[in-house]
Amino acid sequence: MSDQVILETVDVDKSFGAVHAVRSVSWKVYRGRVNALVGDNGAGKSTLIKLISGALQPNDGGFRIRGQETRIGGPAGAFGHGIAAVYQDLALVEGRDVVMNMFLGSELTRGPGQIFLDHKGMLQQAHEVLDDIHARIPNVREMVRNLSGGQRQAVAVGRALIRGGEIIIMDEPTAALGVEQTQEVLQLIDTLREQGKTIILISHNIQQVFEIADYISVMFHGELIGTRQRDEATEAEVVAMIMGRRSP
Amino acid sequence: MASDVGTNRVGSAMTGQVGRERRKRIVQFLLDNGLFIAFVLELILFAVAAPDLFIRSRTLEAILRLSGPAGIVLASYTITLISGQIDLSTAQVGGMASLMFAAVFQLLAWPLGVALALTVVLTIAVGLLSSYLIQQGIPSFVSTLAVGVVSGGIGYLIINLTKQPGMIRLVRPPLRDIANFEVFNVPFVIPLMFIAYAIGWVVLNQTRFGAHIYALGGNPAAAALNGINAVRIARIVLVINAVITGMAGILIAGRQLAAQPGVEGLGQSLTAALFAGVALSGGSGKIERTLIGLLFLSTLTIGLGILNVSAPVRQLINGLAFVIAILLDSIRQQLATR
Amino acid sequence: MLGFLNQGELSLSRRRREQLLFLMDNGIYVVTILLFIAFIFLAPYFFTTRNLVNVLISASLAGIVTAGYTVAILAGQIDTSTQGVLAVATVTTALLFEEVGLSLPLTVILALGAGIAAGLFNGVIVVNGRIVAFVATLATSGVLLAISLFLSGGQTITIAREGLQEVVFIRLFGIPSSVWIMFMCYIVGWVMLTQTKLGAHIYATGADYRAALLSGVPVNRVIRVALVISALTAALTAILVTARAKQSAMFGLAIAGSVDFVTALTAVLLGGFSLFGGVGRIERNLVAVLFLTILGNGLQLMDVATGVILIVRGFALVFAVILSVLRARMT
Ligand SMILES: Nc1ncnc2c1ncn2[C@@H]1O[C@H](COP(=O)(O)OP(=O)(O)OP(=O)(O)O)[C@@H](O)[C@H]1O
Ligand SMILES: [Mg+2]
Repeated sequence: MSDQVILETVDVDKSFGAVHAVRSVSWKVYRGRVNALVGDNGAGKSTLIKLISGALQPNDGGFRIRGQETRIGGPAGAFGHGIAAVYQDLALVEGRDVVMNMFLGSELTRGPGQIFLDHKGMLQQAHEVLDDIHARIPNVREMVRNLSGGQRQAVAVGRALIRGGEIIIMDEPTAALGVEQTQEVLQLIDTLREQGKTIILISHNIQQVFEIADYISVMFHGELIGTRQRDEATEAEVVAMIMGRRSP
Repeated sequence: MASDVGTNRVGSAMTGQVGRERRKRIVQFLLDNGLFIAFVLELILFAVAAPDLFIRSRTLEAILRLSGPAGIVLASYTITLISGQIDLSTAQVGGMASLMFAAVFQLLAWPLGVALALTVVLTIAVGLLSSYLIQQGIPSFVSTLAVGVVSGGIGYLIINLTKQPGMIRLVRPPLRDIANFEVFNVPFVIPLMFIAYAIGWVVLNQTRFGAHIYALGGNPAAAALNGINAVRIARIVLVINAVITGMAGILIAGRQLAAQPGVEGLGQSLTAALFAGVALSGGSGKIERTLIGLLFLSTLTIGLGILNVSAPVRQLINGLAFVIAILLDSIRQQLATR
Repeated sequence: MLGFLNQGELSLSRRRREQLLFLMDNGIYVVTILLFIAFIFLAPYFFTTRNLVNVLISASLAGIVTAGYTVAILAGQIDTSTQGVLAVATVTTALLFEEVGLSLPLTVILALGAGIAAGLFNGVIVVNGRIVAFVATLATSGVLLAISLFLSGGQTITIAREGLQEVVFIRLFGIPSSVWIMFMCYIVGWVMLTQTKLGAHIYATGADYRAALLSGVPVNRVIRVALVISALTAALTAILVTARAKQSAMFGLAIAGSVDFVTALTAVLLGGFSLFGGVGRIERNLVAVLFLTILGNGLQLMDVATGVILIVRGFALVFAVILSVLRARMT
């Protein structure tokens, strides 16, 4: 494989009390590619990406990012490494507008001592980012509460980009969407890849994964049981892996 | 949500939908602007009921004077609510602070600055206690309820220790004159209140801290995932609220020439804020509107007083106002999530 | 909602968890006994028949409120209207018995009726208004207090007529009537909660409102009933307090050792109930009530300042809540 590894988990382990959610997972994520992570409900996918995005801390193991051994201290630490997650529930604040949601936690400031919000700067940058990903959001001062599913996804992705996200994690971005909006999101992922971003995509939809992903990794009962390049794998093989059949 | 509009509905159902949309818009309009309408109606009603007594500059001044300390508290109380915390200890913290101040300033006759500093320290401690409990996973309404009981106890303890008859008289100048202290012919608490509001508005709308307060109140989980330190924000907000409540308690004690364990007149913060559309569950609301909510309630108090309505009936009306305020909040909530 | 932060699960080894839970479940018995022994030595007059009977009566009064309060908490409803209900019921009792001159049974029935009406009022605001109970009842409490003020004109109503106070001091097998009444309340409560469908519904509603709703539990009716029961026991307590004092009583947070929802809430939490409904054992509350009453009584006899007693009360609540949250995070 000629692709370059941008991020690697090294024997990462996570338990919740008696539940061993992630078991010593060593996973390679390739630069500029769509890296899909599949597996049955409760396989540990969300937990694994939360470890990568700093939302959870591993009990054991570590990370190698761009070749360097690193700790990911928390969400802020992950941002520092260019990792930004779009969570399953999107982590949007319903009662705030698109701009404030996109800049949530990384607001632009100005004035003496940088104490005042730079509303104008944020508005402008939000427009730019949303245009870049071809998002169709007529009014960025609209409350997120009133947006469609696809638009919300765009807001959350926009936030990841604003964070300077190089590695963008998307947890089941199309799970709650209709056909048209799903297509919109897939388009969005494609656009991101074209712009050189690395994408980690969790999905339950095998067809969709085969449609968009470059690499497909499978988790089963907390273990990573294999990674396939899309062009070399068949749907049947991946489905078998999801059911726990380890491939040679 | 939006997608079910397009599904196969028959024509009559569609028009029903349109009618419902319009009704929803009207209700929304009333919820957004009802307070202004109600305030204007209130003014007209009192003006008609008692023209010569109500339409006087003295009445206006009385309303503003009454609003002063309560408004200073309300500014920070609103911020606290928006951050998703509800503070039920206001009356006791205000009382405790005024007693502390009175004991040091009036009874010990120490300098004003020392008395104020000691009071600030005490209120900071109380705010820290509340936020510590909240940090432990205890909901703010129980935390502040308990802290309210403790503060009430501290207030009583000050009375016990100083052997005073249920209150401490507060007549040493210059505090005695504070209530009457005027700048350009206006009682100084009024500009003070506006300053508090101006600061509150800037903090909420023009600073990162304010943006984080809204985010925390609106969706704590999302705020945490985006690197916002919830504990720190809650702590700052609650400590500031306690300190400001304490200062307002002193102002009220100054006006009444006595410090008592429970301060009346601060308890309406919640009603005023809810009237103004601040969400009980946090995350939304405009601070400038709560000022109208407060003026509405103060006008009610003064107006009913002018009309010679008896104390229990006035209290009943205030109680019902609170009930209406929470019902309004509930309707707003349901409309927002529908 | 409403001010939650940091509710992560507590990770403990199983053994430590079991030890801690055992301590939390049974510590209250030990602490109560220790406190009792301590006051025998520290507080003059504490260990006299007269005072112990007093403690028993006080505890029974607080216990009655707590019994109904427990039901509300189990249904997930934090009732903060106790003050208001007590005030309305005490004024009603005093007015009807003294000024109107009704017979004792009729007075009691009407005062209890006032309590039921207050509970129904709470239910309407909580259920129809869709408002969290603790806020809704905070609001109704204000209204109820105003009503009581209106009825009494802000005056304490003294009861000169004979036949009311005697009720509290009647003894059966040497035990005051209020204690019997309290036991009755707990037996009825225990049977209702553990042996009836209503009880099962109350637990279900408190444990998981949505799940209960979806599985066909009439959650709204359950909440109404729970709030009425809470108000009803408050009214019953008010009648007894009024009878004991021979006047309409003042209830307030500021009065040490008084019957109010802070005591009830503290007792319920010390009893091991979750603040958010669904779990708990009603009999442990009895001990918690006894503990709180002994604490207040002993401190008063030691001539400790009212302020200190109030502070202790506040910290007792703090402690109880911390225990309850700890328990929730452990299980
Ligand atoms: N915060 C938590 N506390 C306790 N257990 C958890 C927690 N988060 C996840 N788990 C458990 O860890 C296991 C893995 O969960 P995870 O959410 O990672 O699965 P998933 O692969 O994302 O599943 P899904 O496809 O359903 O989203 C599950 O058994 C889940 O119940
Ligand atoms: Mg998942």
